[in-house]
Amino acid sequence: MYEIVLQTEDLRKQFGGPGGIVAVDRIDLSVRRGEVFGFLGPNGAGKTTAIGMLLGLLQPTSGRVELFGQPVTPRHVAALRQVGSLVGAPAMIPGFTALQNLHVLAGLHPDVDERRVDEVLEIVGLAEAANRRVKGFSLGMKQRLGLAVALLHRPELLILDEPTNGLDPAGMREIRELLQTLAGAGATVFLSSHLLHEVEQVCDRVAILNRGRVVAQGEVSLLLGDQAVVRACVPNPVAAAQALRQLDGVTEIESNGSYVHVKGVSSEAVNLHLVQHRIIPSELTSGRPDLENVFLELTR
Amino acid sequence: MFANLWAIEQRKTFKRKAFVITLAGTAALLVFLVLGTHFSAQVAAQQGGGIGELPSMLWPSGIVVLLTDFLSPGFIGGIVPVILATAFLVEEYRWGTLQLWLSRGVPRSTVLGAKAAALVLPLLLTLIAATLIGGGASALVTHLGAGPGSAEQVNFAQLVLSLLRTLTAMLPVAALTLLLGVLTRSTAGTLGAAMGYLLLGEQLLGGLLSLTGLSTAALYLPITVSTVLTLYNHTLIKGSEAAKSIPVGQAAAFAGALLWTAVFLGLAMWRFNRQDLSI
Ligand SMILES: Nc1ncnc2c1ncn2[C@@H]1O[C@H](COP(=O)(O)OP(=O)(O)OP(=O)(O)O)[C@@H](O)[C@H]1O
Ligand SMILES: [Mg+2]
Repeated sequence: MYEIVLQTEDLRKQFGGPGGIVAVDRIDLSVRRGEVFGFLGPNGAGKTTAIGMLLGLLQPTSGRVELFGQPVTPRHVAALRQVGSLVGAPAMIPGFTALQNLHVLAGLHPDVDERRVDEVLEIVGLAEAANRRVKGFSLGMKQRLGLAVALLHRPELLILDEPTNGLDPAGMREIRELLQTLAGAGATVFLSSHLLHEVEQVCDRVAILNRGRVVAQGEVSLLLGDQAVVRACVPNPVAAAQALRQLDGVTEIESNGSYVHVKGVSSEAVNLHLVQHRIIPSELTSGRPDLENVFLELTR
Repeated sequence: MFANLWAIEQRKTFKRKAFVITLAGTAALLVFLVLGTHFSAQVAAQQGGGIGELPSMLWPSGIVVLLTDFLSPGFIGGIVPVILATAFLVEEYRWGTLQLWLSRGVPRSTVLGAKAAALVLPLLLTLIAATLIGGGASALVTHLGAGPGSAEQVNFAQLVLSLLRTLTAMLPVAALTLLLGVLTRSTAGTLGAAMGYLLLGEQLLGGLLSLTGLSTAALYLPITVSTVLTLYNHTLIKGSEAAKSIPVGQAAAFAGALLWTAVFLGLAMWRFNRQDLSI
């Protein structure tokens, strides 16, 4: 059995009262302990709004959030003590140094000592800038400090909203590796992003959000599998398409020049079916699309 | 948890620029006011009284003018809590640090309560510094003029009580500013609304109440009742009769100021607990 650390049920947020924008529309998410969970969606899909409710900052219009089996709302926040988060622009006092900012926060967590503060600065690569005022930090440096803040108290669950925003490619890779290391050590990561290759590389499972609704949720490999395209070169693509319509599991057929494209079934099934209908493909390939195509498809 | 948070807020406060600037600004302004008033009064006296009746900045009345007029909630005693409360609360909405703390599982009322409680010490320190510096300036002009000796007329036992009165008179302003900060979540909005109420709003309200025959009620409006409280600082001068004609009793004035503080804080808490905090 998986232990569920984050769960939402019918979670909904409407801004501005009845008739207002529905930013999050009845979403059900469940995140298992130890996994890296991707939360994908185009701009305005409702990712940040959903995360606001996970963190007890926004009152859900209806539905519920549970972290570690305990309800979370703006007035029930106890479960959030196990959570580290980075949402939007990293929160910090601009006139303080990186170190001072971390010290202020360390006061909240009795088990965080001086060593841990140095350690997180080291982890995010800010050790050298520790005594500089945050005001003068670049976007990427602020983002790194935001991550240090999120990691400071060794949380069991990390909720990160586009954490690599503003980082250079090397920084992005560092963060990806860091998240994998953390997950390997038992932490759970909830990662929102619209960088698809990032999610594809680090996430075990994803939910794809579009206009406030979850349009797909599951293991990355399965989501990709659903969308695999089999391409057959046949003498008569129209007849082949006709024949393939009877094949169980086919979700989409398209003929294009001398090719026919089929989705939802394996290349073996396509091959067998065509041969049974006396159509012999001269070429048969199966392309696994990347998450980007799946994403664009689902959020069209 | 609350004590822990209060301590963190307190440490943050003293490192903040807003506090240092307020402290220095208040001190400079008071020196300017004391010296300015004193020398204007002298010039006026020499010319046979042109500027109207300026208060004497000589000891002992100088120290009373300082704690009652200059540091009253309608003047510097109002500006200081407005600035500090705005800086310590509203800026943190914008920086996201307020949201960060809440997302760490700290209950909302604890966050706001700790912030409110952590305002008292900087207010007191500003007040003490202002008294020392303003009182020093007043002592200086006394020394230059009448010479030493007049300090004997000051009832030093009343000094602590006077500081307490002036501090208590600042609290409703601080609490009102916190409420406005929670409501507007904007620095300009909070400063504008708080200063507007201090300078204009309460006079209008008081006027309206008087028109409807409730002029006694007008005495219990937040800034008025706090100002009345500071009038009791006249007891600083030995044998002063001034306190006898104050229209509201001292205990009632204390209670009024504290009650308004509680009301404003309660409303701020109520609103804060229900607020959607965007990130
Ligand atoms: N406080 C608010 N009041 C009104 N509408 C809001 C508020 N916050 C968000 N919205 C709306 O809700 C929708 C979802 O916004 P949200 O910020 O959650 O999207 P997102 O998925 O995080 O987008 P992005 O990738 O651009 O960060 C948008 O239409 C946005 O305009
Ligand atoms: Mg967002």
